[in-house]
Formats: sequence, structure tokens, C-alpha cells
Amino acid sequence: MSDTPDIPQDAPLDDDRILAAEYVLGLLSTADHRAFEARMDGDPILRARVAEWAEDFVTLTADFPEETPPETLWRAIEASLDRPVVEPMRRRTGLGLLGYALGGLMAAGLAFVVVNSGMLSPAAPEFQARIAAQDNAVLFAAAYDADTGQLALEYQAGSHPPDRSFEFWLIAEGEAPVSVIVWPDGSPAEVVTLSDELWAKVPGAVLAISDEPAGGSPTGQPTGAVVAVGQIEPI
Amino acid sequence: MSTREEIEALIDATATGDRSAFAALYGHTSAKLFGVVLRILKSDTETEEAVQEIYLKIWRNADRYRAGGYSPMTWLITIARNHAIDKLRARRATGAGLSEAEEIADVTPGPEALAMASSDRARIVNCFGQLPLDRAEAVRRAYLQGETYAELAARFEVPLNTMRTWLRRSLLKLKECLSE
Repeated sequence: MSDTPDIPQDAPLDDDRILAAEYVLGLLSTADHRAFEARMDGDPILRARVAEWAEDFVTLTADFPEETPPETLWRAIEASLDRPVVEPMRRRTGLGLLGYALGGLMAAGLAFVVVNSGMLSPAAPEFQARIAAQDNAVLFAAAYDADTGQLALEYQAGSHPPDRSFEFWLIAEGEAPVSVIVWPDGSPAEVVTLSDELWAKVPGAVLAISDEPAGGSPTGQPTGAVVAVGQIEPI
Repeated sequence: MSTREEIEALIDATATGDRSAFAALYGHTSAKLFGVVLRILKSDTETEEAVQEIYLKIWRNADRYRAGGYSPMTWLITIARNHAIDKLRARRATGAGLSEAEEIADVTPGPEALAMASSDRARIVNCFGQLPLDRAEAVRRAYLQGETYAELAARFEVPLNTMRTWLRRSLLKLKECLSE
């Protein structure tokens, strides 16, 4: 391990058994974490070591008492499988996880930290878009996390005439626009959970904002001018 | 709690997009996952939000369950733990953390941990017991609080590389004990 010069060479502390534990705990640096995952892909023994540690550590939760979640929780989960569900982004702690990806450099650093404990794929967003008017008079940022199917949108600039609304559309190549959200006026950020169907269309799609009657397009398709457009790109 | 085979069958069916299997999986496992996440996040609102996201991850990734070689509850709890740790780290990064006192409260094993019945649990409690107290605490904090080497080094007031060496030695010792 090049980053641990003070460890004597004879101490076998870069043993795969230790690395696997560090991986499970989320202690590896981003680079080491990725390198480890790449090795794991082709190495069943390494995968078995990880699974063993996961089994061992999980017993630390064995005596945590069960807590029945509120009934509303299942309904919320079920609903989010079917259709875009709009949840206001949490304001108590500022932004949710996806929000960090929107906020610039420091945010990017945090997303990296967060990657380290993701057992599935990274918890950090995988796609992003800058939805802008040509003169940047209307500007939103978007980040998408494929694991949760959540699209985070952040207001940066722009306004519409009174009694009108901004409506967001996801447009896959050669397909009709699909409404994502009618922006609640004054909201700094929103998180939309995309349906599986919509989710599959995200890579390569375009996000567009149109100017619609208050409350959104009455037809289900854009009726007003497109005020901003952004290509969704992998991060 | 349902049997391992039942949970496994429900995860497999969820992977095919079977909603009723997913509903049953939620019914059988959500209390455990909610309990684990609540213990990590210590906030009802945040736990509800996290558990909702966790089940979305499970729904979308159920087809990856078989590749991992985990037992079904371990797979589910690991997803929940990792997601909760992500939230906790994000919270710490924004300085919006709970007070230190609240964080520390649950980390040391309670009497119930020591008196538990399961042999797996007994085995790990025994092996943790063979580590010096502060090292066992560091490992536990890494798992249950998502503390990083830097955070642990600051907490135990040792240089970063010392912390790393400590923890790696402890993990090796733990593994050797657990493999006996």
C-alpha cells in the first residue's frame, strides 16, 4: 500500500482479508475502492471474502430492535415504483445526497466520500445535465442517481410570466416528451423519482423546460415555448 | 422472521418485477431494516426517507442479489446500512450532525448484546472481546457510524497512519479469531 509508508514491510497488512474488511466498512479511498471493485469482478475468492465480512459485521446489528415503519411508508414506496413522485427536497439539512452533486467542487468531493460505502453501485449521481437558455436567463441543474431512480433538480436562475409555470420534460431521441415535473414556484430544489420506464430513457436523453399555463400543460405535451434545454450526460 | 429460503424466494421474484413478492418482502423485512437504520440515523424523519430509498434500491437491484453470495438478510441489511452510512456521512459533512453525546450513546455493546442467543453473535462478541477495548470500539464505529480513518484518528487522538495500522491489525486479528 503506497499510502501507508509507516507500516513495516513485514507486516502483512495489505492482506486481501483486510482489504475486504476495509471495503465492507467503507474505509478505502475512492481510488482503492474502485480498484478493489474492479478486482472483485473477476475474482470469486475476493467476492467470497467480502461476503464473509458482510456476514460477520451484520451480526453487530443482530440485537437492534425491530421497528415497524409507519403505514404511509409502504404506500410511498409503492407509488414511487409506478410514476414520477415529486417529493420536496429536504430542507432541514439543506440538500439531499443528490443535491451535493449540484453544488460544485466541494460537493463533488463529498460525492466521492459517499461512494466508498456503496455496496451496490456508487451512491453518487451517475448522470447530470445543465438545463439552460441560450443566454442563461433560465438555468437549472440536474443530477440523476440510477440506483434510486431519483432525479434531483436545482433552480439557479430564471422566471416566467405571472400565471405561467415552468414544466420539465424528458425527451428521449425520436420520442414524444414525457412530463417530469411542473416546477413549484419559489422552490430551490426538487427530487423526482422516475418510473422504471422513464428511467431506462435517461442516458442520452434531453431535459427541456417549457413555458406553460399555471399548473402545467393541459394536454400532456408541451404547449408553450421551450425556454431551456440540456443534454443528460454521464458524470 | 421468515426463513432464509422464503426471503430468498421473495428477492428472486422481486428481481422479475413481481410487485406482490416485493410487497411481501417489505412486509417480512421492513421492521428489521427500519430498526437498523433508525439505530444508525437516530431520527424518525430521516429514517423514513432513507428506508423508502433503500426499498427502491432493493427493487431496482434485486437481480444482483445472487451474484454477491450473501445470505438474504445480510444482503438487505447491508444495503440498508450502506445507505444509512451515506446519509450520516453527508450529514456530518454539512455539520448538521446530532450532538456528539447522542452519537456515542449506542456504540458500545449493551447487556443484550453480550447475553444474546445466536451463536454467530456470540462468536463475534467473543472475538471483539479479544481486541483491546479502544480498537474494538474503532471497528464498531467504522461499521455502525461510518467513521473514516481520519475521523477515527481524530477521535482516538493518534496520527492517521497509526490509526490505519491499528485498525488493520485489529481486522486481521478479528478475522483470525472468527475463522477459528
